Amino acid sequence: MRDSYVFYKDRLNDRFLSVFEKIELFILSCDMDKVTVESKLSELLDTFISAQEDGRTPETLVGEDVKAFCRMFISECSWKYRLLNLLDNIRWVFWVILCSSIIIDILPLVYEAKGISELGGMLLALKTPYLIVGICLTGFVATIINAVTRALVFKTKRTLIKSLSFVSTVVYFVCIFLFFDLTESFFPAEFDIPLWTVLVCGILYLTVYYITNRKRLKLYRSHKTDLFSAVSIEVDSEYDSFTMKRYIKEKNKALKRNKAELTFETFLNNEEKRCIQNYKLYTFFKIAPYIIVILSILNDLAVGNYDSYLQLSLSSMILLIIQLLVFKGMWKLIKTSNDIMMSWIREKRNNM
Amino acid sequence: MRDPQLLKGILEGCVLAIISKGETYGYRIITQLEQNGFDRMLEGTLYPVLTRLEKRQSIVCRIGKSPLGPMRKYYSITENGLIELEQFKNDFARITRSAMNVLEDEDEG
Repeated sequence: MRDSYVFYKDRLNDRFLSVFEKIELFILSCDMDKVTVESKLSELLDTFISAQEDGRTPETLVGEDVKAFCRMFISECSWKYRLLNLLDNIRWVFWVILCSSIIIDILPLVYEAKGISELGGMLLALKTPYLIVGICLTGFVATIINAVTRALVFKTKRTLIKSLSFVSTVVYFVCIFLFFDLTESFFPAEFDIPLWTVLVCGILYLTVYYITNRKRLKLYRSHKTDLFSAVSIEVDSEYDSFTMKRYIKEKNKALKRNKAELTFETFLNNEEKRCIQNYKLYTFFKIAPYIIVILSILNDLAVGNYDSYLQLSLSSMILLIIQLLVFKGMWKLIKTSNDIMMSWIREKRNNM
Repeated sequence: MRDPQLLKGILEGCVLAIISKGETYGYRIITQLEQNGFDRMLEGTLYPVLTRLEKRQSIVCRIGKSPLGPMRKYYSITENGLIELEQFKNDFARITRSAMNVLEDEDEG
């Protein structure tokens, strides 16, 4: 999945791109939440592209001092956005804890893998206090790294900007790794928080988080363009060239087989029919996961391949989730390919 | 314009006046301001103004697809914004009259 502004950055020429990348790295290092960052950079990129179309230079928009522009640009973004960023990060930590505990506790019921449960439970119990301290430390480390990045970004050449971003990320993860590597020396094994406490806190936190942030997250989801949908919006020259070559190949094939000449209009009609047929596959992709799971349950019941109904239910549930994800992914690929082709056909028909 | 404080005071009102004419977006506001003599005023000053106006609910923002690619924020004025604009026009006219009186007196003196 890619953010929308990232997908359109390559529409800037070198001069505008150089300035935009510095501003982007500065804003990304400002500890703001993702929604605000996406919104600001998207708006700025649109302004840059518009100015470029008008034949302007980036200096006429941001002035000579890009640093001052950046400071002014985010001047209204107060501590509130930094707090939102912290809350967003804590959300992911709790998701990891919840998913880990589900895997550790439910998997052994499905499979004869008790060893995983014992080991995993021990690890989770030991590491829970470390995670809490870890959140504070990683937040502190990230703040330091971001402050250094902001100070360096305007003193760095354009070719080194991406390296600066990469180095910041590496330093961040090295600090995290060192922390977890050294914690055993500093935290006694008796220092433990019961798992149920962490789970209850996690569920409570996530519930409150999603209820209070639903509008903000809805806005983010509504304008976050993933790669598949973004590609289907417009057909680029590479796709056009590829499809035209395919038309010429099929035309030559028809000639070699002494068939009627394949006109361009016929080719477009054939492709359109194929796309329409593919769209009808949606029903199949929607019900296939359920059919597979039902057949699997019937098979297990028939051969007695289960210890208890609970185990059978849990394994079926996991199988269903996996099948839904796989079929959804496959359908998305087919639909995107279809959308691109239909877009190309429409474009060609408009130009004829 | 050399005095940023002077600019800050009147920029919000001018931006509201532009937005009151119809839904618009950031770059168009910039070009309209420049056409009216606010040259080289940008340096990032417009975006904080828009953020402040949005926080005060003087304007509302709609996210739409730009014909150039990325998402674009379209701004339109609210009822509060219209009231604020009227107040700004009255205050600005009053202050301008007073300032001109003082400056003309100084010239004559």
